[in-house]
Amino acid sequence: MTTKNALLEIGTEHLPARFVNPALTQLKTLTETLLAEKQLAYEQVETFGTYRRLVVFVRGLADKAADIQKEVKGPPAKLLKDANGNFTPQSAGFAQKNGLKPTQLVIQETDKGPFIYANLKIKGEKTAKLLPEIFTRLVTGLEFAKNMVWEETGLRYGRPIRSLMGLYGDKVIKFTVAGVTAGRTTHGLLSYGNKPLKVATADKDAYVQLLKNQNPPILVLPQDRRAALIQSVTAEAAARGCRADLDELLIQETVAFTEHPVAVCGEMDLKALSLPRLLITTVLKEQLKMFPVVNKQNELEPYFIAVRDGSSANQTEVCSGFKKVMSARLSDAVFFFENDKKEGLETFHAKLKNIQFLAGVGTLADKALRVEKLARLICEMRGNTTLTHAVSYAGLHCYDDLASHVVYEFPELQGYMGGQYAALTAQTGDEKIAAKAMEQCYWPLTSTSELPQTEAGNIVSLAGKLDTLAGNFLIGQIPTGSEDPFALRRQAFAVVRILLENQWNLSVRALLAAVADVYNGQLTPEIQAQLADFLRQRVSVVLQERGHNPVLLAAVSAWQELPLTQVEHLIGALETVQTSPAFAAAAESAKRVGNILKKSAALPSRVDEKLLELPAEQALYQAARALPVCHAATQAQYQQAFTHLETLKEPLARFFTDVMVNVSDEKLRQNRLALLAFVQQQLRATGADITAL
Amino acid sequence: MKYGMNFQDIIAALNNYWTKQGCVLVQPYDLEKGAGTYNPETFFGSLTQKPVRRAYVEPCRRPADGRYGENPNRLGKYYQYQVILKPAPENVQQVYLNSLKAIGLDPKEHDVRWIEDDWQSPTLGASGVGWEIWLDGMEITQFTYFQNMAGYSLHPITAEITYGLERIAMYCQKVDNVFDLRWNDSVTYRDVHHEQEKQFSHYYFEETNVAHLRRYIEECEAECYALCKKGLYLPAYDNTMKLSQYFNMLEARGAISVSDRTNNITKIRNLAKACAKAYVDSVAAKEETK
Repeated sequence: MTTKNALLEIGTEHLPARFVNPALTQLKTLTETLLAEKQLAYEQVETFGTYRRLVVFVRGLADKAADIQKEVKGPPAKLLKDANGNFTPQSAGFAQKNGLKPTQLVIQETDKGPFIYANLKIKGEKTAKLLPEIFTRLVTGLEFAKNMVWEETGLRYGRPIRSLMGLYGDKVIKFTVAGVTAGRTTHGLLSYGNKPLKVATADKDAYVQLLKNQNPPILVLPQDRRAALIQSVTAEAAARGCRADLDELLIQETVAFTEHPVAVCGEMDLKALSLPRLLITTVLKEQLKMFPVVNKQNELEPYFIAVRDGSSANQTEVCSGFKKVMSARLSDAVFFFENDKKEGLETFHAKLKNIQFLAGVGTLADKALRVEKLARLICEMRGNTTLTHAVSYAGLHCYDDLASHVVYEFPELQGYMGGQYAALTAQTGDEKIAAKAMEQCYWPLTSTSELPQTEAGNIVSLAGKLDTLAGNFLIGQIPTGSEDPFALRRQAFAVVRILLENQWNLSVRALLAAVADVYNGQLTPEIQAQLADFLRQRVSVVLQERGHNPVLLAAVSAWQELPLTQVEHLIGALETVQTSPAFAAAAESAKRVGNILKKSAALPSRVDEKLLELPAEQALYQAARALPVCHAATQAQYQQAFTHLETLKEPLARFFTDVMVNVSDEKLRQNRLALLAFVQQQLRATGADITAL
Repeated sequence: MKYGMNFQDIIAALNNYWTKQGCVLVQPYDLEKGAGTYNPETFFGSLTQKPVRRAYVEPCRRPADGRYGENPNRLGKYYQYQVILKPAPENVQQVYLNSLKAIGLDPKEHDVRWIEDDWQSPTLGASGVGWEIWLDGMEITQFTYFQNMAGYSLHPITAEITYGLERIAMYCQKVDNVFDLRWNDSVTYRDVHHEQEKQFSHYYFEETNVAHLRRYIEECEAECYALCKKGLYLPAYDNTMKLSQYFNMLEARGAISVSDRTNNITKIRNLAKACAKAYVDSVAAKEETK
């Protein structure tokens, strides 16, 4: 089989940086899917590119599709020939329809008897003929986060397509999308004249090299750009005896919005260094896409490193341009920060009463009061009353910074700035603890990021999140399906992580009672139940992420009453014992117990030992009594307790064989039911109901 | 040392450049407006099915942005240079970059970055897809492919290029205060505009008559609808522009509450839609009579 390489380049106007990687990932899958659909063999599909060119390279693409054998079923076999041995009109017609001579027809057995078949051999089409369609579908099959139209055909795309290059070996694959016809031309950097460049053949290395050979070069492979970027940025920092803060997200973004990254380093106004560090780095990274520079002690140094696309010509002037913009932004930040310092937290706090938290749940000032109280209650429940002062202060003031100038300009710095302002005026130990807690009161910021580093921080964060959840549920803003505009799932997720990862000895039930308390009884039992159910879904997700089988959560009937750590231990234990056949048998018997009890209304609470007549009754009672009590235990202890349940298997089996529950003697019947109720209670003593497995 | 071109020479160079690109050079529209997009050339130009190429300087009034001429970067009235291309040529990005060359900014000597920025105007019911263009980190141009105008999905698509003239000139001339810009060799931006900034800031922040403005708004609204009914979409649209300016004045005066603001924005959008509809209907009627 002959193979050649194929190369497709989609030349666009500047795609937003965030579109590039998803497009390249899609292109790879799409190519593999289409090649499989067309029965085309290949060695490897690679995709790479920049914000202006999305490239697909197929190595070793067969020059024709695989031949296909096709069996077409015809009329029943008896219609093949007539009495005279001639082909019937039916069979002759069938042969003709399939392009065969009647003599080429065969008879094959089927479930419904013998039938006439036409066995067709369809020759695979030439790749060169298939590629126009494949390339067209590749180009048009891409989906972007946001689309636009720009030309007559009305194609919706991330940005306008301005050139297409399609090659198979050294031949151009001609196709047209959005009025652009493919050829063998790619282009140099736009700012350097968009010079047309002829690509001779579909060869990855040659194509990559051709672009690299331009002046300035284009690094079409993202890994090459990444290496060049890191090298260039690192060198600029090293030349000043420093090191660059190589923020991974900023690196990825920069790799996506450059074709040839070149670092430009300039000096920063020293005055700006007096700002809180995260404020400076936010301005540099988020607003200006610049890398901060740090020394050996990881302290900020008064430099910035910007990245330009293209060459290093006229570097001094470019640098002074960047510096001008940076200085303006930082002096804005200095202005806001200084103003904030002058006003202080108390001034901001006074403004919270004018800022609505949620319609129907009051202002931010109301929320702050609730969070203060809730944090204090959690503190008491934790038995850590030494923190009461600190968490009360932090709870009351953690939203003050929302009224500050800096947070108005940089919303992502909420919490952090409040912590900075509190630290500036902190005198006592409590105030310092509170400042740290305020700084991290929104942590964890993402589903995988760090929890607050201090106990106080965890308490305030937990209180704030529970209050937000309760407030939204109170006014009926409950996420459904994929709709979660207020990111309440993320909040609930964080609640579960704080409880579980800190191994706090607090149950969801106790926490919800505290939340209901701060909401002054507005949270009806019904709303609390909805909230508990919402949290339960997050518990399930977190448990799964921690390597558990979330289905087992259904068996932990007491999950609300138990600290989540215990719930996790129970589930871990269940996972282990579940595989034991003896345990499974015990669980089966236990289900029978439940079924019998379900039919009976009122049960006597005590077993009367004197009424246990039969040996099977006595044996079951003894076995149930012998079960060890197991509360607030480790996973190993729970596991042991579950294993012990296996000792009920025999007595239960014997009980069901030897003992009739529904006897006419009412006393006896009641006592037998009481025995089963006792057994069930013992079975559920851990908090898990093994009959629910 | 004198850096860069004079302010008026930058405008002349852009006029010259875009004339060569086949643009009709129109003069600023003689009503106050918050942005060049409000100009009827752009508003109706984006709605028509016919090819359009226009270039013009557009003075923009932002009453709330005035600083009595005391802030080096803020102005209550400034200039945009606006280019409308329909359809946009295939090499429109290159054409834009060449316009920078024409005003002394060689893209090879600078970092030109196209940052995703999808423009929208809630008052015009308009939105588009495009970029803000950074020159060495500074935003100098907004480039937009209009997708919707006054609620209508557009087809064919118009490209709009909006240059921030003062910013570009400040960069070229290397000055840190807008009032220090050289207008020509002997006159500065201060000479031309400082008194205006001072007086209009005073007027917009302290002297406007709120009751009058509210009455004007009502009158403009009524007149706009009345004119739309008669198919006089051009004067109707003038009333939309006026109403929008009065609204901006009220806002600068601090006379607009949050809900008031939303209501007024909706009011303006509805007027813009009515004008657009009157225009589209009148074009359709003309087609029929042909």
